[in-house]
Amino acid sequence: MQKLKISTQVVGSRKDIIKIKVSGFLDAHTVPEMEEVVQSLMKKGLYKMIVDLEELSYISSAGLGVFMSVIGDIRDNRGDIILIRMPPKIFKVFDLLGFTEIFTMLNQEEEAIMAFNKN
Amino acid sequence: MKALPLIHLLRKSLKYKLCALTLVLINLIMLLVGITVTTQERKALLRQMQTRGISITRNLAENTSTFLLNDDDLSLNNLVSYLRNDPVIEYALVVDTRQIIRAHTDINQLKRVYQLPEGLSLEEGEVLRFKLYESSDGRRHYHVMSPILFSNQRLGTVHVGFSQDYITAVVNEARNQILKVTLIMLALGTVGAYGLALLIVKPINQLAADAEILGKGDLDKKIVPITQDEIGRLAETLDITRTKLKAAQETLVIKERLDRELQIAQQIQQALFPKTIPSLPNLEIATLYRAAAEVGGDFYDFFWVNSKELGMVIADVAGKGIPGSLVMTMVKSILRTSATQVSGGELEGVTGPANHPVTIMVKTNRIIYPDMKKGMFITANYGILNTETLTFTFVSAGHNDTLVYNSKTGKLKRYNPKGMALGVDPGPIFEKLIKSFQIQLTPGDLLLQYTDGVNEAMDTQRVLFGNERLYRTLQKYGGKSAAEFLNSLDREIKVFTRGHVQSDDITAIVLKVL
Repeated sequence: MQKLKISTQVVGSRKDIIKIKVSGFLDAHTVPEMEEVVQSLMKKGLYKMIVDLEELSYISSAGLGVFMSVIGDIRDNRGDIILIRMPPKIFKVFDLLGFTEIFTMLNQEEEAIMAFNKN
Repeated sequence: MKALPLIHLLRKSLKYKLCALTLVLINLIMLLVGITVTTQERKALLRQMQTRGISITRNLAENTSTFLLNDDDLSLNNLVSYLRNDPVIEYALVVDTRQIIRAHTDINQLKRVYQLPEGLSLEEGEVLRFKLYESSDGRRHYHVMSPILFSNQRLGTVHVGFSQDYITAVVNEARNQILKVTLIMLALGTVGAYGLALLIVKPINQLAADAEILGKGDLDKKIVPITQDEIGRLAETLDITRTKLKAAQETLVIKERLDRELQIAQQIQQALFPKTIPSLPNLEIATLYRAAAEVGGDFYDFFWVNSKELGMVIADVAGKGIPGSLVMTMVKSILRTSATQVSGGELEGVTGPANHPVTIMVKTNRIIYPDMKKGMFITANYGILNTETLTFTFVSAGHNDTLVYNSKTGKLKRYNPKGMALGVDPGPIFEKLIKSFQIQLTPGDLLLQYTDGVNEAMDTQRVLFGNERLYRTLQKYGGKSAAEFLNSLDREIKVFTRGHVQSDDITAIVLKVL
């Protein structure tokens, strides 16, 4: 049974950006784990998130819901969710739903850090 | 028959059991004590009698020697008569060497020749001896004899007889005494044992009564321990069990209520599905809906936009359970209302006919967006089929591909005009993205629209059913009727998932051009 693995890491020179590496299955069963990680970061006032999706093998509509549900609050607090290294399969899901228009998607971590630092 | 109720009582009541046991124990002890005491008493009395008998006899022999020597029969008899009052002594007599009775406790026997009592035989040369014999009436006696000597010359013999009746009487007296004590002990013991049993059994009975109340389902009566011992601890444990049981029952009641509500929600939701599917002369329409365990968020709908055009909706609300179901209900109503309104009116910023799928989706998105919970969204296809021209114009709000397979040509085509899920964006992005597409259907075409419950059905290893398997199924069974095809698809999914718990609704609609 494939599960979800989440690891977080502080990145960037100002130490205010969190990289969340997600691997495995992000579906209705594993969504609560992802929600918890994101919510706890927000509680600590950390709103700049880079989500590395390189090792994510499956995302369901519920999985997409996690990002959708917090993006508003995150942006209201001058933060953002930047999705990086998205596998084509995952990209297709985001694109199908039109979420590529909502989220910033970049290839590398450095680009994401630069994007945060620019603002 | 009479003993039965007693046995029944003993078997059923701990109190009586304890009581009976105590009494049996008391009786056993008393019996043992009685036997020991009477045996000891008998032995002691016998010993005492022997010692006394011998000393009386010897004394008599010593004291009578001078009287006998002087033939002072009066003094002899005087001496012997003292023994008459002794209850132990049956007889005492003095005989001279000629065996003539010179003195006797029974005066009538004087001057007679002494004969040994019946049943007693003496061996030659026997002197001082305590001897047991039995008379013809069965009574037991002791006989002691002592020679009367004067300067080693024998003058006569003293015979004294003792009755064992006395000993028996004393022993019997002792036994009666013991019996009396036993009876008193028994009476006291019964009361005591009953009281003790009551004392011990009371908390047990109380506990049993409490447990019975608990067993009958009354979880509100607190079980208070009345002792500090094991029974008390048992009562405490039982009370803890009661509170836990109560909590569990309350949870169960709440769960049952929720389950019932969920069931009702499910029924309401299922009632919202079109009861009849439009039947057309040149077309077949079929649907597949297999709900996941929970209340799902999938739905499909058919309605006539006008006399020639049939509206078709398939949608999937992200998020299951009651919230998903509520949103589903809302979206379904709004979509149907918007799509079937004759005078829909122009929508600000939207060009094109009022009932065009793009217009309907934009309108629906604008209406539902403010009411959506963050993170919830709906993917949907809305298409209009012109039943005369067989053109199918549709939009995809972030929904899966629309597949068209033609069994005559064997070609499988996928369509997915650009779009965005409903309820995500208030308008600008949604309206910028959404495009429609028109398909011209021809005979042999089988058009399939489905939700991700189909292609993302998982087996136990969490392998997805997947698009490729879906395409193959379409190619394999696409030549069949609409209903047969969906049956086959459903069977394929079931075979693939091998009974793995269905986590998402499986919904599909099929149009088949004959």
